[in-house]
Amino acid sequence: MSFAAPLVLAGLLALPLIVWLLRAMPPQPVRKVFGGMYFLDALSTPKMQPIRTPLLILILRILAFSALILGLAGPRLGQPVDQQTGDVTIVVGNGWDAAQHWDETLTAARDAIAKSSGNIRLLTTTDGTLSAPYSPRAAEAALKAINTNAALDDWQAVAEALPADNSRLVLIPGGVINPQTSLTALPAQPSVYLSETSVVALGQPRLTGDAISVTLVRSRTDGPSQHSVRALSQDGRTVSREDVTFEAGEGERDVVFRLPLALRNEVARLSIDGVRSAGATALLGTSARRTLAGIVSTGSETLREGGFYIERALAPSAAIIEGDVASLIGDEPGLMILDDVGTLRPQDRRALTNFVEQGGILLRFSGPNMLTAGTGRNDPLLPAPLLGGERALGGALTWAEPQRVASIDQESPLAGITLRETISVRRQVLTEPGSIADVWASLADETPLITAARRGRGMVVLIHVSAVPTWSDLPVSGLFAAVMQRLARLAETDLNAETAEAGSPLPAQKHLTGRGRLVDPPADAQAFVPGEDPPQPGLYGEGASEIAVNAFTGEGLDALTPGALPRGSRLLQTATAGESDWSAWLVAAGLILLIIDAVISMGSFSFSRTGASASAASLAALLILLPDPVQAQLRPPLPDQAEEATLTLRFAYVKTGDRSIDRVSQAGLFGLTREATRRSALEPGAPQGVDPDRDELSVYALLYWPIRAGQQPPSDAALQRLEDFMNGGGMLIIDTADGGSPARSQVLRNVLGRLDAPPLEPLREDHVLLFSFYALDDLPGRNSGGDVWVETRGALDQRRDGVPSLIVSGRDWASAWAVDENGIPLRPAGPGGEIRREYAWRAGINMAMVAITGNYKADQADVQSMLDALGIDER
Amino acid sequence: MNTVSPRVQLERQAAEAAARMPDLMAAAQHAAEVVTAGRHPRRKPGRSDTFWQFRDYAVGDPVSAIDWRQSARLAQRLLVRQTEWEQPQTILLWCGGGEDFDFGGDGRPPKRLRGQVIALALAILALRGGERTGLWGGMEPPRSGNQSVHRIADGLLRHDIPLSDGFPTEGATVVFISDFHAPTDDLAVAFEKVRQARGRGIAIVVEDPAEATFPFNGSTRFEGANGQARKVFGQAGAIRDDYLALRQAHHDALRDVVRTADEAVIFHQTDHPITPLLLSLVQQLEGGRR
Repeated sequence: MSFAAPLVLAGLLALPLIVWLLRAMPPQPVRKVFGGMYFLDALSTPKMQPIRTPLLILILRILAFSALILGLAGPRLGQPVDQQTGDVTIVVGNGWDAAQHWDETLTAARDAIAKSSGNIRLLTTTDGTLSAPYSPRAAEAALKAINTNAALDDWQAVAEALPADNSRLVLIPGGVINPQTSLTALPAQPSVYLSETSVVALGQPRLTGDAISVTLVRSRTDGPSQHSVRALSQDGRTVSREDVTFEAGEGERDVVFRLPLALRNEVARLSIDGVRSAGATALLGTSARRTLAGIVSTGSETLREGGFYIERALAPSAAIIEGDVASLIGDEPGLMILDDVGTLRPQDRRALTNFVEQGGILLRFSGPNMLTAGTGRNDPLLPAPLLGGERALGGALTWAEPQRVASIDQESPLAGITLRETISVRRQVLTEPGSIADVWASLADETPLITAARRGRGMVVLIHVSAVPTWSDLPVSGLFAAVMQRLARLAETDLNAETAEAGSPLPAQKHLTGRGRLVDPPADAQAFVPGEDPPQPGLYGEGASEIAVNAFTGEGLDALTPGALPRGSRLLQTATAGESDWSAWLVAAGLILLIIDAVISMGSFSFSRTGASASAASLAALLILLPDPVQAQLRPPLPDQAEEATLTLRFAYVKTGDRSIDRVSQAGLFGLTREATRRSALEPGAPQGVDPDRDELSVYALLYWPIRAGQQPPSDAALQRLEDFMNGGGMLIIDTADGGSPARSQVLRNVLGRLDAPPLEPLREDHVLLFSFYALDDLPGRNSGGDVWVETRGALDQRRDGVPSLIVSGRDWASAWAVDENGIPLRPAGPGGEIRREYAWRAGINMAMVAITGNYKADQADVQSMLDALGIDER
Repeated sequence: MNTVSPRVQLERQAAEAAARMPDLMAAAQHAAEVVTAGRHPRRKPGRSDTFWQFRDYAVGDPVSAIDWRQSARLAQRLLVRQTEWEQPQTILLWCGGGEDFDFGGDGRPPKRLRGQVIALALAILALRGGERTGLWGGMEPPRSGNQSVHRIADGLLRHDIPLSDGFPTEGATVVFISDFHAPTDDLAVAFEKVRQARGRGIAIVVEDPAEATFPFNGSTRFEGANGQARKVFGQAGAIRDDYLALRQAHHDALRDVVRTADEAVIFHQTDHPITPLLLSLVQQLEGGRR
């Protein structure tokens, strides 16, 4: 035990004096208002007797003052900080396991920096680069620049990269041990900050039957924990969510997403809620989409082309590629669709036959071409030989009525599909009588509509009408879509089998960062070569053959235990690193005792009001005298500001540190507040400036963030808070004030590159921002150049409140809004003058309205179509 | 605003107190006579609106006094209509006191407010009976009519005229309301002035029950209601007997002020209801006239 300010302990000498003072103090009379003072004035006053302070109170006060004095002296328990001399090498784990508790890692690293006095070298574990020797200050800066990688700690590389000099070694490992490497190669006796946080990861996603399943693994199994895993689509929408609860001792659990095929195909990645780490992210490439359908048709652009109808029907349940037979076969689809293809070149015919034999499904539509081509007697690519010529029903020269589709064979793969509509067939092709083929669906006169035959491991399916609605109503019926989806499911391909097959190298499309974000890869990124060791996690290959490489493959997730550390390691766990400071507790205890004393004194006891006021006075004096470090602990920055903001609706801006920008932001929001109050029912309080590093943001509805060139980039913690703010339904307006000129948006790019921002799109004409209060054509500010980017509609639909969480633009709104207390504009309004300012205000009020009311007004965009749907003639 | 609000409050309280009177009067026939009879007929011709008698015209009567309608019924006689002489009683009110008068114990109204309520309730009753009512030492002469209620309420709140400053009008009944925590000579002098003006004085001593019981013990610092007077007693219980003796002596001195049968000193405590007091006051006024 030691003291930060031992001199304060001399105050203990004053205790006897306090005791004496308390005892000598005469009792305080009870104050009574009385109406008979006329008589009392005539009475004489007897001498007053001091009454002794009761023993209990005396003890209480002595305890209180002792606790205060001891607390102020700053007692510290535990191991003292060892300020070590000499150079130090700090090995910072920056794998995806460290990314899950990156703040902790940074804290540990800062702690290590603070404790060393010599030169500091930083060494990252995943890429094994050793930095130059830094001063502590430079080391702090370099620490901020460290990025996490989608890999695990590579101790082998670390051991090789360590400097030869005998500097001290501090390890801050990520928390999970990489099964490939061990720490034994490291020099002995390092100091180690071992994280206590459990690391969670998602294994390789698997496709089982009708579900996507993935294994959720955690590194520490000692307590129960709850997680939820989200299945996300390409554009970041949540498709599904599953909650997982680990019991104590349980290390892994399968998470199964049972989804309809259409939804399952939308899933592009799985991730664990609230954990941003490559290991907690499982990517599914396009090839994971269950069915790949290749369509050979004349086109899919117009209503007169069969491909159009086939694509519409298949789109929800399969990935579609178009092309000729040869190129399609190369992509290894599960389903091949030939729309009215008559003559096949011999090599195509061979390829198709091969395809079907190996388990592919060939779907053919009839049509004029097929008839003109004619068919051989035993064409393997048809379920049965066809009769020449089509059968026309209900034409000008026939007396047969158009036939109805009558039945679906419930023994066939189409079982379960029911006919709910009348589908008339005007023309059809017929198979030769007596041919053997499964009839899946037939017409009222028992002529077949869909026939199929097995060929090898695959099958050939023929639809006896064309894919355009000339021959029949089938292509525009619900039955058509149902049949196509059923076929797509039949043609499901196996994800893992496909990745294992050898093929040409696939170029890197996206890389996964340590925090689980997809970024563009560098130009020299390694390609994915099937059959070889997978390169860096990310997405490889294009289109249908897109393959995902995940950071965690699901081969055991072992927490780094002290046993695995090098010999003689000294553990400095971050949770209890350093010594604990008891002063806050003691001072708090002293204060509580004084409060108890005051309450007793003010109660029914007839003694001592002076005692209480004396305690209060001494307390006030003590608080003023508190030495700085203690004060910092006693009074952490109370979120007064946030409290105020919760009481009244307020706009807020992000403080940039540049006074002139902050002043304009403040004045701008003040002007906006003022105009909103004047014009609308929205009456916010005075705007506040916030520091996303420290302040609570969730209490604001609208946050204005000016970003200028040369600005200090925000820290990760700040970005995290901003993301939480956006996810919590807040609206963040990023204003670069550069009028959209790309040359100056580098800072913005830096920020957005690191921010987990929702997908953006240019402001559409019918966006709710343009009519939430004023009807506007644009959201003008002082500049009008460039687009206003807002969260995409697709992403917006996923939000509960429909508030666009992010608006990015260079319009310099704050300058146009800014007024001083008297309402006099601070800055010129730009071209157009005051009218422009007026429009800027309108834009601001619109944005504020959307921030407050969400999509409340958005319905109005659809008024016309709703009226149309209701059939109300708007004359 | 500042003066109106308490005045309105006072008026309302007094009106409520006075409004309870008619019920009471139904039970107490005696008191009811006073209030309902209102004016005080002198049973001889005089100035009023009440018909008294017809008499023959005599030389010197104004022509306008002739009742032509009655005269036309008789041959050769002119009748003059005479009204009865009614003289309203004059009532003067005074309510005032020192710092002690502002005291009100736990939850009870301050004595001053109680006194003002009593004064105004009396004024309302008197004015309803047609009496002329005014303030002791007030600038304006006593008047009758309901408008005077507001004037009196205003005066009660605004003026704090020392007891010795007022002068009675001839034959007026003067009601003094206070706690009389002051030398009793002041009251004696005031009663004497009233007596000399052929009027009569009634004093109402308003007290708080705490003053009668002195329920204090232990070390106590007594303060006046406005915090001006203060005095500390180490042991309040010890001075209770002395205090009560002093108070008794003061009360005796107050009672000694009364000289004639129609004068009175009435003691009232703020925890008692007002209505019985008003009833007895009305009886006092009634009794004095006879």
